[in-house]
Amino acid sequence: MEQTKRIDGLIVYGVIYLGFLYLPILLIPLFSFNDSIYIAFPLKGFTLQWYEAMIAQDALVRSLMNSLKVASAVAVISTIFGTLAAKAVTGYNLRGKAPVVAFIMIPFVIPGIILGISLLVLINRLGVTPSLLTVGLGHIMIAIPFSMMVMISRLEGLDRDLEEASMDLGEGVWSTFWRVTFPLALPGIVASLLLTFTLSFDEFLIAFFLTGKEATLPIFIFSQLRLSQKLPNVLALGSCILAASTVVIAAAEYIRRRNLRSDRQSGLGV
Amino acid sequence: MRKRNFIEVRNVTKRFGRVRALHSVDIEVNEGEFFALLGPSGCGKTTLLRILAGFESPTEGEVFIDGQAMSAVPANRRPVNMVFQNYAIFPHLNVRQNIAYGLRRQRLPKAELDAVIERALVLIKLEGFGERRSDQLSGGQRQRVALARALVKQPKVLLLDEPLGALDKRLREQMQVELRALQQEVGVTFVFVTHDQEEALSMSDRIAVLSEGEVLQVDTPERLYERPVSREVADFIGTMNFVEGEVEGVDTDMISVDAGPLGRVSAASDERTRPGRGARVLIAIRPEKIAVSRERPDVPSNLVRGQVSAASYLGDRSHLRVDVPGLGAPISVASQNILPLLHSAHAAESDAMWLSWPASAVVLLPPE
Repeated sequence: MEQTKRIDGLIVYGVIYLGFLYLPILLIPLFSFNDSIYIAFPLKGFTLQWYEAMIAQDALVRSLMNSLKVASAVAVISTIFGTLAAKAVTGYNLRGKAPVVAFIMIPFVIPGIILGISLLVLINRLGVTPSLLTVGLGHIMIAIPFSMMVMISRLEGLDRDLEEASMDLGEGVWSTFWRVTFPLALPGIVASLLLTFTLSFDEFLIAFFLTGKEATLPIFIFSQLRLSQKLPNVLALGSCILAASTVVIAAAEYIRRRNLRSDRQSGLGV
Repeated sequence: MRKRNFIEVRNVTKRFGRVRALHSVDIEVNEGEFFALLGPSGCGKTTLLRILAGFESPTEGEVFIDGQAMSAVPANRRPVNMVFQNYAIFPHLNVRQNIAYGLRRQRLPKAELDAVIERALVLIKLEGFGERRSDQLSGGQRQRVALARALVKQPKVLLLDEPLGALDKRLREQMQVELRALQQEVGVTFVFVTHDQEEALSMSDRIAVLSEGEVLQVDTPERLYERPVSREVADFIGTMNFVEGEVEGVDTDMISVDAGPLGRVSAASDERTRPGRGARVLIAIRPEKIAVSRERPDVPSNLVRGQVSAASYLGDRSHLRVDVPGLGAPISVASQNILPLLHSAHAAESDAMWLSWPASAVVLLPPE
């Protein structure tokens, strides 16, 4: 009896916990289909007009494209740097490794607002015009530590013997990388791409300071919040992003699980 | 014709910072030999193997393989292949792809490549396992895949790092036999690292015993066991009784030693150890060379009486510890239980027994 009681309590706790996490998020798609400009109960009726309005809104679509562009570039570039840095840190006994890693990790803990202001000051001094490029560079700066963390945990589990075995069997450094290290690091690389993409995609503070005429999506959404009649468009957009990220996360989890089984045997970390 | 000195390790020293892993090591291995590097962990044996493979370079000295100096040759160009301690099977490739891994550069036609892989699978008795991934293989199977993957490269030398260490006892004994048979079949020179003295004795043609980065002795298993050159070697391989003594007389074929409580000990003279009169020596006798009897054997020397302080029965043999008055440590004796155990001739605890041994069983070592 004691046992069942406790499990019941856990279930109640779990339901409340999940509700707390997801109910607010679920309100977004709910109201995006609501036939009213006001976000309030009771619901007035079903409509797709906010989605039509969203697609018709040029500035919105443009800012979405801007964000996708910046986020893709940031994801690829920071993952390349993060992977190489992680490889250096895990593969070789470099002198002064600890301070170098700490140094690279610093952007991780600096508040975004400080970073944004300092970068703005810097590019002004250099005479560079704020643009999507500067936003991208700022994002790369904060994304590299994230990528590096993901890649270090992946590469640390990777058996160094495997690379030596490849060399022993006649392959050079680069072909060993492509034939052994890369395929084994791939789940980590995918995770790093997803993480850094998301990081850049919804980053507001740095983008706010460094963006020029072209807004990224979070900047655009922020500007829309002041106009209440545009709010339902933002909800429609939010629902689309929610759906897209759910699909991406599910796909990533599927890939990770598929790799998990073979990893366990080969002594690779998760 | 098998080449002598196929591998030459000349005066190799390896330092990692301040730590000296190897100290002027000289070893020669003949072609087709099954050669063991034996020693406790941290003795430098794995470092030496990695130097042969090209993963480490010697701080001083040079390694020659088939007459060619190796210092300028990177690991991926050396005519050697390695079986790693944990086998290092590529987890993202199946058995077939693992075996074919090192053959890519040869750009063999598909049919030929398949034939090579098929032959390798037959050699390691894993026909039909080609499509399996490494996580679907047992420890013994992984080890054989690692062997095949290295052997298809047709190396001049195969290096094996504790190849049987990860297997359980029964499988290890079976693989010892298989590995030895495989080596004789392919005729490749094997250099293998082990800390297991029994494994080294049963498999190798010759063994190098290493300790703290130095080579103590290179010899056949028989000579290593029967004629160790130092107390360290004798201690590392099997059990040995040591008693200090002083040389009394040297004859053409016999050396007699005053061994204090052990009386006079005669040792068969050896071309290697010919200490002069009055020299201090360490007398070493293996436990199984000592005969135990209740009656006094009719021999003039190599005889002592003692009291059994411990007797343990091991089925095929019994281990005794015999206290000899005046001797610091008890003498270990291993006697074969040839007669039924209940026979009165057998020694039990606190029995007084005679110990005797032939002159040929006595090894004279330098004193410490």
